[in-house]
Amino acid sequence: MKTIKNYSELGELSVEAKKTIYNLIHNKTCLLDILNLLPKGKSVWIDSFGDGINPNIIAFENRHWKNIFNSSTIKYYGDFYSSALIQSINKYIKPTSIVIYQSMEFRYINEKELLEKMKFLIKSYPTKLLIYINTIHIDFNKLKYSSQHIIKNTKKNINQDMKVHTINNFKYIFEIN
Amino acid sequence: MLVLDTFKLIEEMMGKPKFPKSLNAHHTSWREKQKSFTTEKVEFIQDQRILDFFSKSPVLTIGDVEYFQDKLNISTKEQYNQCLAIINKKTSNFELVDLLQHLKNINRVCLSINKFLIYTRSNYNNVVEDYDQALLDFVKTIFKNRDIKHYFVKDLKGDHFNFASPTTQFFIT
Repeated sequence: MKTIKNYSELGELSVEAKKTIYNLIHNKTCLLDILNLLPKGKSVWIDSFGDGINPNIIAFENRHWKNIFNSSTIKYYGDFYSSALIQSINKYIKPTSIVIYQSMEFRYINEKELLEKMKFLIKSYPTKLLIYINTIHIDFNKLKYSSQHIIKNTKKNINQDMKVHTINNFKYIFEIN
Repeated sequence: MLVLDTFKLIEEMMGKPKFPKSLNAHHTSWREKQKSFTTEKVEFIQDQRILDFFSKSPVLTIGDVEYFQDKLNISTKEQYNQCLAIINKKTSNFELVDLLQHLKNINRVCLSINKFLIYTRSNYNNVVEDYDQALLDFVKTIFKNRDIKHYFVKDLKGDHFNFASPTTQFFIT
């Protein structure tokens, strides 16, 4: 029997396999917590399974997942940091909020990367930001620091008007105005 | 004071430690699901290491071990000199100490830990910054003077099947 270490050894994934993975990552457990914080107006959800929730939500999904969706309303991006993506969202959609919920962009990143990504979003989108963080998926020394410490530290290092909504000991929503 | 001493002190104040009730999880289906993404018959390297480690004598199993039920000689009595413990559910540092204290006198122990699922409610200044090293230090403090083989993936991301079968492993003899 072949012994494998990682996904690359599985070869090209089928559409069904990708659907399974996407659905597992993007569960909707805390969706209501996000929806309750949404301001009026258009909302752009990046890599956050936003399609079909309501007409004011515009979903941008990573091109990696393109063949698993049937919807024609989803827009796709290749690079989270692309200036073309930022410009098109700000210029043509003019959203009142950007939502990051269960996104791969905020999984398996360390504390420094978390801070950099949040600062990048603040700099790029002059709107309300709602960023969901599950500290289970943040890479830090979990014998040394508590989840609360990581969240407090992140808040402290972002020089911006923001609230932290605590869902439970691991799940938080950063609301940045 | 060592972190472990602090933990022990709290344990003593709280009474005799018990096996954490929360350790049983069922990740076998996610393991099988991911393996079905390819038509080839495959085994995750971390699972193969477990299979290679144990001899035919009875094995005590704790935690997320369902996959191994028909692959190892699982102990049904109180007699065993080997143990497989797979921590693949949210587990506090206190619960981890509880568990390891119960296993420290067993001859051969394989401890697999999903390091994303460990948590503490306080900060500990005397724990080293490097998480992989901190986990090894933690295990060494309990399994004193034992031979420990430590496997882990540096900068672990989501592509090593860690949530199906933890990639951080300690083989203790």
